[in-house]
Amino acid sequence: MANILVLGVKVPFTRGGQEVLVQGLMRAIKERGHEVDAVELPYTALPKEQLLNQAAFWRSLDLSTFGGISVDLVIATKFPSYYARHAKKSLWLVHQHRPAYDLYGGRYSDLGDDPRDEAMRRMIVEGDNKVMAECAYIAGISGNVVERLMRYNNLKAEVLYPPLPLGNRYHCGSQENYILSVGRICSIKRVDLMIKALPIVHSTLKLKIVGAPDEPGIMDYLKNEIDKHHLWDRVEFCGRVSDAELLDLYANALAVYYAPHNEDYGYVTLEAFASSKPVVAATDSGGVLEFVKHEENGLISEPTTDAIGHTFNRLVENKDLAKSLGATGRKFIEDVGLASQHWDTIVQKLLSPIRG
Amino acid sequence: MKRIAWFSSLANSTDSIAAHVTAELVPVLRQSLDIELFGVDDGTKNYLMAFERHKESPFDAFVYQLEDRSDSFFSRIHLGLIPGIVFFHDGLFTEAGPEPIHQSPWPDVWQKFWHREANWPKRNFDYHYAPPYGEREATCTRVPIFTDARSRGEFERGYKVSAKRRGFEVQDKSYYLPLPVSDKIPLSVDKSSRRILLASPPRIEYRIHKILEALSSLVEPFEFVWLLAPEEEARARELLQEFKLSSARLILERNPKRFAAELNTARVTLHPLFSVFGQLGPYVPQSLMAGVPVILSNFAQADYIPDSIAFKIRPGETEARELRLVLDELLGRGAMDYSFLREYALETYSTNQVATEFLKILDSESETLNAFMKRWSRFELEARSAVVSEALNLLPDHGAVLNSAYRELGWRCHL
Repeated sequence: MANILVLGVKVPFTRGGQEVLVQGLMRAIKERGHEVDAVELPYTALPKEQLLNQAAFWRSLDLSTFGGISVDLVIATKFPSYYARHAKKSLWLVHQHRPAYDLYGGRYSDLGDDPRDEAMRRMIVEGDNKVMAECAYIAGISGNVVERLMRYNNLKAEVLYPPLPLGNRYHCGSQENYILSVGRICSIKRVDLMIKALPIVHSTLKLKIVGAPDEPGIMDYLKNEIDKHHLWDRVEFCGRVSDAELLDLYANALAVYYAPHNEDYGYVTLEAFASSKPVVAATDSGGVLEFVKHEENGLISEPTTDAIGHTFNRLVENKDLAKSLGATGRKFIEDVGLASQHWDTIVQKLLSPIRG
Repeated sequence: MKRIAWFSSLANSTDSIAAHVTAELVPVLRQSLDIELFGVDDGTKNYLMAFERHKESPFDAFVYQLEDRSDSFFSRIHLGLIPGIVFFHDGLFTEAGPEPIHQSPWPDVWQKFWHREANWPKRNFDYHYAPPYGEREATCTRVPIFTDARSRGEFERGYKVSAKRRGFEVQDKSYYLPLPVSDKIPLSVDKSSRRILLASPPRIEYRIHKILEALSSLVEPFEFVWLLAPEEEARARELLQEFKLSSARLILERNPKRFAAELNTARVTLHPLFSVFGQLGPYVPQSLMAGVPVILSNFAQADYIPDSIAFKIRPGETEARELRLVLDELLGRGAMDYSFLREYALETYSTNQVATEFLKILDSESETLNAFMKRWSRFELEARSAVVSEALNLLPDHGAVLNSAYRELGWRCHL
């Protein structure tokens, strides 16, 4: 039996895939006979200079002993948790600070060509390289994350897909006339594209958005778009919902919209599949496309409002297509065992530094 | 051997001039220089990691290929991060580019660089890169090399004046280097060919309407071959139908390699351009290397090509008629010896020649570049120190509790 700390990063008042992953991992480790707890520091990237302090806070922590109990292993997940020091460290990487990496140069990065920003970017990369190299075992949550690690940090890592958050509880209901969107409401998730597409989608189809905003100004922007196109009778912000409500929302959707820009992994894709629902993704959705295959278990569209709108019209006009795509998605989940069986492998690998 | 970080698109399937110049020059330059390629394409190292390679094994110079295309954006960005030698294939850009350039505080950055007492750029300020676009890039360039003589002229007359007004130290010299083309392009042998070759988009600044008008009234029989990008096909076909030239042969691939392959059977090539943006590209020198006559728009860049080497048509009212007359004349002449065109091309554009000239520029500027790189490195350290102070000042007691972590991570630096 080992004493293990899972290191997470918490943005107060929000909940996303990372929190789900930490909770799931802790449960799985405990079920396998170990003592486990989470260390989560609050995180903010504003102002951007805080990034250095956030990493340095983690670096300053002594995680070796608490109340006489030695910590045998720490498992880091996301920037900047992997800056923590410990003799035995594993990394199950959700993502680095992407604005310093693959998002740099685009609209989702606030780092520019001010030499101070460039200095900060380099410090983050140098720091990441140093502290990630301390890890005795490194994995990423998807092929996209692993490829990014190699491309930018020259580090080899294994892919360990996180299992579904709600295990075997997903089910399929009916096909009601709504599209479901689940996730943090921020610009990179591109919920705005779906809202802007609605005017050209059959008027019977509604959009239900589960999740909370975690970006300043995003709700004002989305509400403006809804106002502009007079869509308040077709768009519903559900906020955060209970697990039971979420399962029902998945179960009865016509389809799930999940078209973020270059996503790391995307639980939503797999939750949709587990509920036998097709996913509409975009050509640049990154990790989502490791699972969504066009015309097999979903539809992949150009990331434009027109293309997305026409894609959804296909599903409205042909519900049998939506059903058959969803069925293929469900089969994928069953075949790969992402409902619950996968935790054995994950725990075994992440604990390998203390197994010798 | 000098070490060079070379930033370029490698999009050889397109008409990217940067990709062409890189493909031509780098293999030759590698005989004298240790070159590492950086970019976003396969076959390059990721451009954002160039600073790490520079730390591991310092480069003597950073060389950028810049043109008015989106696949040059990363070069334009990185030029602002580590200034260097720039091949300007375009002197003006039609758009600001991606976010780091849009919002670039470059005027304040360079004020700070040249005048240490100046403040760092303001945070949370709406810096807006206003047109015409190119001044930022010109400022960040330590050794400007133009492959379009017109752009070089505008740089000398326009940019240098505005830079001095801002209080920037201006580069002493700018250079013109012709676009390199391979002397392996064979002399065109088909003297009986009646093929007219065009490699231009179907857009008004490329004088398409005038060309098609001229072709549609040619007396002599001819064959028209048009190299296009695939997405241009529909528009081209519309125009050909309008001018009743549907027998034209369209090749849906426009790049220097494909153009060179078509030269062997070309009688004449057309190079129209009437715009403040863009340049003629390598198609003119390639045609000359193959001994194929060229017809240019008599505007801007054409001034720098001798009248004895190219036919020049003035854009305007008489353009279509003049072009028709020249084409009929050329097609009606029968077999002619144009090998003098190849002699001119070998003297002016051959890859080995251009590479030699580049090496001379590199040598003559090495002291200036060296001095600049030392100063820029120091500036980078100052920036690093500034951002560390900014970060720690967000915390009580100037973040004293984090000093040890900053030092251990190597984030504290000593100027």
